[in-house]
Parts: sequence; structure tokens; C-alpha cells
Amino acid sequence: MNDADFAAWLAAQQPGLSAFGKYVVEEIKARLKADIGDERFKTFFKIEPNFRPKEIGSALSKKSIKKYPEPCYQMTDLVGARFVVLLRSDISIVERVLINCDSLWTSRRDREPKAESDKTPDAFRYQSVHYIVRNIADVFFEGTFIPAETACEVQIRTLLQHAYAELGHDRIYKSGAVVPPSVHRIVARSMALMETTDHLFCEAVEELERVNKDLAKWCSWLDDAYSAIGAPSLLSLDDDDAIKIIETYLGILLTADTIAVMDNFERFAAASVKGGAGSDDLFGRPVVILVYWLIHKHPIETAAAWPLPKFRPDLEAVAADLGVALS
Amino acid sequence: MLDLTNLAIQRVTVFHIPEDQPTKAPGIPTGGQTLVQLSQQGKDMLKMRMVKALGAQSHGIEVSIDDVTPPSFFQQGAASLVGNDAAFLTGAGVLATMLAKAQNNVSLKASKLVVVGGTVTAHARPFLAVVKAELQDALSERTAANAQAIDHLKNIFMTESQRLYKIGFLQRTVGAVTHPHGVYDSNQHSVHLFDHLMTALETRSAAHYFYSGFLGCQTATSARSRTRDFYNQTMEFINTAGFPDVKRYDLFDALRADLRSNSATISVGDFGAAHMNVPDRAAYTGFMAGKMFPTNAVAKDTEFVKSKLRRRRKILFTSGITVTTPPDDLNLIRVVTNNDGSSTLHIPGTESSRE
Repeated sequence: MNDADFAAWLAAQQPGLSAFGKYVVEEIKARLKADIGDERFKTFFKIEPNFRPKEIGSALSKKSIKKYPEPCYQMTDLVGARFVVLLRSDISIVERVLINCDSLWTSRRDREPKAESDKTPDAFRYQSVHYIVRNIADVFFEGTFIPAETACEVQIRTLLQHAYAELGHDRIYKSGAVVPPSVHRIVARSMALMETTDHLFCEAVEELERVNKDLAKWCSWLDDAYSAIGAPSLLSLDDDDAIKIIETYLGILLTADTIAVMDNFERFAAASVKGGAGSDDLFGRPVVILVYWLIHKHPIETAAAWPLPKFRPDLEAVAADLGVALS
Repeated sequence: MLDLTNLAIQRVTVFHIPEDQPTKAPGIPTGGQTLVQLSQQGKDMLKMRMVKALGAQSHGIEVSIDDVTPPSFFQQGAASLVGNDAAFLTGAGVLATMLAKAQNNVSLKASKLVVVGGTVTAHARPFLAVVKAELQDALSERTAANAQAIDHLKNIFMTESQRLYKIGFLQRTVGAVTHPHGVYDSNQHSVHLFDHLMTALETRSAAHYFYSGFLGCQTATSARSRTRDFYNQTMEFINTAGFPDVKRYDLFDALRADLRSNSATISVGDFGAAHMNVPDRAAYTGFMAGKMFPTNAVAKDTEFVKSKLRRRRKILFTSGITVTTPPDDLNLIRVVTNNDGSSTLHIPGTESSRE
């Protein structure tokens, strides 16, 4: 196919390519929203997912470089869609949704950073997950006909990978100009730094999730344990004061186990707290069970870090039950 | 060690202890005819005051029971630990009269004596607490007929902030006591004392009538060995806790300074609070508790450690420079005076830090 024929074919395909790009973006967005929930979806993409058909000039230049015998089929990036997320772990969520659309399109992984870094572990380069998707059947989308086997290149990146691509990939590697080795070196260093930063972000998020899980675990256990005494005035997860107390002492609580906490409570406090059930003070809240353990085992740290001045008298009453004089 | 867990107040009565009579004879206590019906909040408050005064990390101290002859505080109190309410009230009345007698000629104002009976610890050991509370004035706000008014309250007592009270806390320390011929054994009991006057040497003598005259107890018996234990065990903690050298020397100096100070008591809690951050304090408190050192205060007597409390030796130079050396190693440093008016110092070791 000569250039003129290809250019004419491509111009005729533009509406169908654009429609397919939009179709892919909308389908993935809708399914992802159903998958992760409205709340998380609101902030999931760091750049609004978009699509763009390849410009005809750019396609012609690629055709001449790559010397495709069947450019209409072999050029898989005639329309591209891009999804930018925060973390590497978010990429796999988009991948999963994309792959699961197997009744709409076939998907083939075109670039995979993990495989690339396994091949050249000492190099730090452009990273992005690429998929080529082709619709299985003819589709009418928003009044436009999309023939079966139309290809769309889907890029899924983190925000940091996107920043690198904007600078390194587009401005340096695709510029065609001669790039001195020193610039390659700097860009590789920045990629290494981004990969490290991404790794640390993931670690931070994992840690945060673990903490939130600990918090939720304590809250639900405390509510259960307190129900033997009376109805709590508030469930712990809805109680900002309880959450503040648990968050303050999460480090210490790593050494606590529920059997010891309950045993301590039954030995020293159950009688005192029974009178306070239903009240709005500390004794009316399930978290009081934990406060007894904290004061008994760690009086100095607990008193020093106590986050709620309004409950200081209650804290002293807890201490009195345990025979401890708080300074 | 005093264990105040599970403290439950069961019986309370209150006496008014007036000033001495015009004839200089002891005042005659009034009240105490019946048990006081205290609300739960009132009991909670009383318990909090007692624990704050005597519990772990408080300034309360253990005292040794000196006077065990009937009718001493100890014998009367021990007999009142158990028995019916009528016997409790009779015993409390005897104690009130003893207090009035003990404070005869001390020129004290009228006060209240609260006698509290109950149980403490998981073993429910009986206790008897005598609380002598000085009377205070205070203000209270009231809304009447949509107008605000401030009332002047006279003769309130046991407020939190002033701590104008003394507590003697007699506790049974064994499950079953022996009392041949109605005489109780002091080894089966303990007495703890809180007196805000006891914490400073200057006012300690003013507290004498209460702990000695009334309670028949002494502070000195165990004070010397307790103070030595405090010194040795604190030194061991400082040496083994992994502090940097500078912090270690600071703590040594702080320990010596605290033991030389005018305070009449020492406590793990106070030393930690004054000289350590929260994690170190917690570690220190845990270390001392592991050594079975009391978690509340102890009376201070430095007789056994006085040789260790000498100040660091100071060498002053004409240029205003001061060099200090450890008090125990007086000959560590050698000073050679040079002809040009300078000095050469020979010091074993190399520099480890400077401030």
C-alpha cells in the first residue's frame, strides 16, 4: 500500500478510530467504578483517562521507518488510550478490568515493565504497561460504525512514569536530535529515583492499610467485648475520641493481645465500668477497656501522650481503679 | 510494695477535730456517730484522692510501725479492720480522740478526720485509712431565678489542687492474722503515709505529730537502706541502659544532686520525670519495679551513701577556666605549672565529648 492510499484509508478511518478509543475508555471506566466503588473511583485516576487517534503525518513517518507490508493491520497504535494512576499497585487493577472485558475485545500485552527490567535489570528506562485491544465484533458506538479487529493501544502508567515519559520519552528519545550520554545518564538516574519513590509510596500505603486494619480490628473487638457490660453510647468506629485514643497508642498496642486486655479489664475494672455504661464519658465507650490495659501496663507513656484533655478526670479514675497515681 | 488495685470503700465516718480548748487541753472531737452515706461519685473521689496520694508513682511512703502497745493507733486500727459497723464507729471515735491528743499544743486549726474502711487488692485485704483534712474556703456558682450568684463555701475539704490532707493507711498484708490475747502483730500489717509536709526537709518536723504522735510510726528504720538501694539500682540502670556518655554523666550528677537536695523523700517517678524523656522513664520505672523497689516514694536518709554524694572536685585557673573531676578519683588529674604562667594538665583517657 503506497503512502497516498494509506493516508486516504486512514482519513476515512478517523471517525471509527476515535469512536473505538472513546469506547475503550468508557468501558474501562464504567467497569472499574463498579469494581472499586464510587468513593475510591473519584480519586483513582490522576489524569482524566483520554484517547487520541494518531496524526496522519506521524503514521506515515512510522510506516516508512518500520516498512510495514500491511500497515492498516500492523500499526496497532492508530488510536491510543491512556490511564494514569498513582501507584504501581493501581496499574494491576486497571489491567484486571481490561483483561476481563474479553467478551468485547481481545487483549494482548505489548509492553510490560517487569519483563523488561528482568531482561536488563541494570537499566532504568521508560516504563509503561501497554496493551493492544481489538474488538471482537463490529460495533456501533454513539452512531459510529467500528469494524471488528480495530486496534487500540492502551497505556497504563503511574503518575511518576507519566512524568518521566513526558520528559524523557517524548522530548529526548523521540526528538530525533543527538542526545549526549550525560543526558541519558541523568534521565536514567531520574528513572531510578522514580522507581525507588514509587516503591516507597507503595510501602507507605501498605503500612497505612495495615494500621487502618489494626484500628478497625480493635474497634470491632472492643464493641463486642463491651456489649457484655451494656450498650455502648457510640460504636467505636463512629467515635472520633475512641479512634484518637487507639491511633495515639497503636505502637504500644502491637504488644497487646485481646485475651490479656480482657483479663486485665475483668480483674480491675468491670465493676466500675458497669455503673458508667450508657454515659457520654469515657466509661460509656468501649475504648475504656483498652484504656485500663494501657494505664496498667504503660502508665507513664499513656499519661504523657493522653490525647483528650476533656477525659483527663476519667483517665485518673481509671488509674485510681488500678492503684496508680498519675502525675 | 503498696498495691492499691481493687480498692473498695465500704465504711466512712467523719469527725470534726476542733482546736485545743482554752485550758490548753486537747479539743474534743465531735461527729462520727453514724456511717456517712456517701454517693458513688463521693466514693470515687475519695478513692482517687487516696490513690493519688499513696498509689504507684505517688509521694506516699511506707513507714515502720513503731508503737505496737495497746492502745496505739496500730492496735486500735487493726482491731477496727474487721467487725461490725458499731465496732468500727467505736474504734474510729477512739482514733479521733487520739489525734486530738497528738496535736495538742501544736497550735493547729480545726480540721476533719475521715475514717475509711474497706478492702484492697484482688485478695480483698481489709484496710483502714485515716484522713486528716484541713478546711478551706471556696466559691461556687449558682443560678437562681435566672440570675447568676456566687456562693462562698466554708469548711470544704479534700480538694484536688491544695492537697491539704494527711493520710495514714493501715493495711493487713496476710490472709489470716494471729492476735493472741487481742494483740495484733505489726509484721502482718503495713502502714503508708501521705503528708504534703513530708516531702521537704524544712517542713518535715511539722508532720511529726501526725506520723509519730498519732500513727506511732517512724520513717527512719528503712530509709537508709532504701536510699542506698535507690542509689545503687539507679546507678545500675544508668550504666546499663545504653545512654551516650554525656547523658550518663548528666544522670550521675542529677542522682547525686537529688540525693543531696532538701527534699525529704525520693521516688523513682520523680527522678524519672525530672531527668528522663518518656520512653527512658518507662524503662527506668520498669527496671526499678523489677528490682522490687517501691513504686511510690521512700523517705530519704543518705547516711549509707554519703561518701558517694561528694561533689565533683573543681580546679580553678586564673584565666577563669574550670576543670572538674569525679569525686572518687581525686588524683586522676595532674597539674604542672609552667614558668610562662600556663599550666599543663595530664589527664588519663582521651576526649569523649564537650559541651
